[in-house]
Amino acid sequence: MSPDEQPLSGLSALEAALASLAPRAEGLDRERLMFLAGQASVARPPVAHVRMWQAGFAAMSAVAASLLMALVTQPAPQVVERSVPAALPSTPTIPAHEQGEPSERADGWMSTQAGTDGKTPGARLPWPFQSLAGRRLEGPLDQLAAAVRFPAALAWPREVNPDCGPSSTEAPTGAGVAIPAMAFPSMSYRELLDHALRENGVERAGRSS
Amino acid sequence: MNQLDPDSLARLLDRHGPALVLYARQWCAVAEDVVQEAFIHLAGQRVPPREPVGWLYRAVRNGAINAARGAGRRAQRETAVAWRGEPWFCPSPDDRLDAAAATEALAQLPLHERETIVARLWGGLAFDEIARLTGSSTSTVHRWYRRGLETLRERLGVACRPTNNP
Repeated sequence: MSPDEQPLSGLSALEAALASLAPRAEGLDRERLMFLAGQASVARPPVAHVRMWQAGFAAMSAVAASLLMALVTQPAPQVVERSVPAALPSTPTIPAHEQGEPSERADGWMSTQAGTDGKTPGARLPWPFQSLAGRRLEGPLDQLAAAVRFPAALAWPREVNPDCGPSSTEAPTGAGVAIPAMAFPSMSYRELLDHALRENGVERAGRSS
Repeated sequence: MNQLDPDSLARLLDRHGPALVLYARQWCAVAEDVVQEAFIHLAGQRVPPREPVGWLYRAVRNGAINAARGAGRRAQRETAVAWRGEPWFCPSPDDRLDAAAATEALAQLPLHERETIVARLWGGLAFDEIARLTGSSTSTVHRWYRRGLETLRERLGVACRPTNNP
């Protein structure tokens, strides 16, 4: 028998007398309580959603605060003034039709791929004369000779040019010969070429007329 | 499971509202507010509790204790403060006991006996429910109940009648 079913000897009358008393509850407003309970029963967002929004708000607030602090505390942009020398005029650009790999013809002339026909040698100077035309020779000619290999046809004979040093009987090779070091005055290659042709009694096509 | 419907809430309020107020008065003076908060909290539960009556008594008990702690009162003084001479029961000429005398006698009982008697007599809770509510064993709660009734009988002078007599 459970304690709920056990009779309390001599106390049942007291239990009944006490149970007959009605507790007071005047302060409990039934209508207001039901109204507030109805409000509370309205669907509310789940706690997880509320927490998610709160966490998102806190994170965004933290980001905004950190960005504001970074904006306030960062130093002003520093202006660096630096003198830059003016760019020097660059070496004349070699035209595209002259940039090809030079090829050596049978007569010793070097020509580019664009001028491989070899039919108009007077109209266009072969490589490397075009690229060197107009340049001033600032140093001795041996510097030019070291950099440029002249065609064999252009090499002047030693016997007709006593200024070229000791006489040589070597025939010019097909690959061209190097001009010996000479103390030429500063002149352009075109002037040097004209001079060499004039000394050898050869008139250029344009000047013969 | 849906929320508690308004009719069930109204029935709970009509059946247990006054008893819950009396139960909350064992700790604090703002018993009506505590009971109201408990009902509002129950209405806001997305999943209603399996035993709403026991849930309400537990919510009222916790709310009343928290209210008493918030007021900074000691547990032994709570009853004296809460009971300001006003009877806890509605006076009725048909009652066999005087409401004020019963209130005074009940208020002088120890808290655990008083709580047990109120939950048993007016709340209609079983002893095992009261035991779960108070965190005690069923036998202990039964002993508190019997001792409290004996004390009330001595103070109120209610004549003892045999159980089998009508």
